[in-house]
Amino acid sequence: MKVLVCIKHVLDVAELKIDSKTRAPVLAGVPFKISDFDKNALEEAIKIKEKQGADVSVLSMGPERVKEGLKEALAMGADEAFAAISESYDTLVDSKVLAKAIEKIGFDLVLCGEASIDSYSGQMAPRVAERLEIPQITYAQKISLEDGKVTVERDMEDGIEVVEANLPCLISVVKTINEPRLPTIMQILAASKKATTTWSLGDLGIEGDLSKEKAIVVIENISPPSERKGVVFEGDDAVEQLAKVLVKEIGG
Amino acid sequence: MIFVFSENPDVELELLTKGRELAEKAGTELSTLSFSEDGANDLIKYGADVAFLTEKPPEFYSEVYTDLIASLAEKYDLDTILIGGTKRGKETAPRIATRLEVGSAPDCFDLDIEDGGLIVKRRVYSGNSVATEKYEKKPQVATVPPMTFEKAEKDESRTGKIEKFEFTAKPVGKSIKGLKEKSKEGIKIEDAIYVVSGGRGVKAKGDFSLISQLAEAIGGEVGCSRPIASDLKWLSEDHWVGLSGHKVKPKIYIACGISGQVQHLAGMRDSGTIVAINKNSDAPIFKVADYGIVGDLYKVVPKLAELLKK
Repeated sequence: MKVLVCIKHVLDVAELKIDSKTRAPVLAGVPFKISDFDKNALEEAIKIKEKQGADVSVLSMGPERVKEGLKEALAMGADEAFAAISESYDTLVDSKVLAKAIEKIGFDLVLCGEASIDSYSGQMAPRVAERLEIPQITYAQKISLEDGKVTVERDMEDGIEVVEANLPCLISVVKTINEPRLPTIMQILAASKKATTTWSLGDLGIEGDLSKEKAIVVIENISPPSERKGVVFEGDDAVEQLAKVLVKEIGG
Repeated sequence: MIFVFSENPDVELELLTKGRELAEKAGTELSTLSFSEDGANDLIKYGADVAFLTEKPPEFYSEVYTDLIASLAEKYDLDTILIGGTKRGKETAPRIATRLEVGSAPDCFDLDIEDGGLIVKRRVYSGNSVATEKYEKKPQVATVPPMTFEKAEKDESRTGKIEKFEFTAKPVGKSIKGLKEKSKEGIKIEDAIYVVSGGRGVKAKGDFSLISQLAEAIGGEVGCSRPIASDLKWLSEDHWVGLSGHKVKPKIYIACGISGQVQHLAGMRDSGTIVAINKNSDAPIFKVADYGIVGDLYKVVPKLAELLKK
């Protein structure tokens, strides 16, 4: 049983600041981390390994720094780590790189988070599943594996949808599925000795200039000025002042 | 030709509004998908020029809808595809775009068309920034969150074309075994005119009585942020306002003890007037608020309820 987890090494968006003059996000100095829900996916893979035995590999795509995230994943309990070194273009192009790497590693089950915290697009899971030509089960809040079959509870708007699928398939998980573990110091030390396999695009059989395959171009990325009034009431009669404007709004 | 589709009938009408506007601007036709002749006629009256008619697949499998919509795109040369941003829509649009080897933009809250090229706006970096994006390839695929646009109105005089389309679903390698109900109290927070929400600033389940007293004072519903419904389960999920909860657009939204994480803001950002009550003056909720009080909700909320009752 091979479980493969895709993790994205992302900007910690909680640390992001906005330049007050240009209204552009300031990315310099912002730390990177494993995207939150990808950690839930990894935790789920390790749980499967502990319960019934599995070989857990982790894959990350991006620049050299993604190896830091992979080290953390190894410390959490992954067996093998793979870095596909590539610039990030858009979900169309990036999914191609990931799918090639996933095929090269081999898998019975692919796990990932429902979306990444930086762009929150939620596109990678369906895109990769389509490229691998396997079924996708998104928004998983519970996964059970038995006899080569997986049963998943999906957190949907209209209820909890129960889906059964044969392997291989791809599952994306939501935050509530589990609480990711913190690796111990011993695990962190042990992980630093585990090797990470590094692949270039050429190693994955991808030739040519990927930047030419981009489907979406960002024209602008700025923080819009707030259209809200931003009035903060102060002083002893703050609540009275607030009540007054609310009465007016409710009345009118 | 522009194509819009949502499996959710309300969102379908919202997409028809925007699709109609874009089709007029681009001087092209607006198409959609229906599974019955009556439904197809209706969708034409709501704004479509062309309604593709095919047999309804028995279940919603994103793989099947990918086959269906990608086949339509290829046969009818659709150049813009807007999908309703429900969870089912959001897992299907990227799969369609991958099949067609094109781009897909998620959760677009603003869409425009220039010389046939779609230009979309969406929030990135945890809502800190707005990205404006255009497409290099066609068809251009985008998802639009529920309640982004007004529902289209019916015009009995509108006419259009029903185009029958043969489609047979292939096996997908998975099967839906059932739909379990989430615990519910039967409220529809998305329909409320006033919403008073509580977050982690409310320290105990019983203290939500403060929130409901304020809601009662103005005749509104009680909402909450993710931790309250999802982690602590103090309230059922039908109170949950946010990206994974419900999207609300009340006349007045009062956030009590809610810091304003992006997931929450995504659910209430379009409210008429936003009020924030939080003891932390740096809380992001103040950045989207019209009125705010920096203070202890345990003192402010009961006093406000008392004043508003009159």
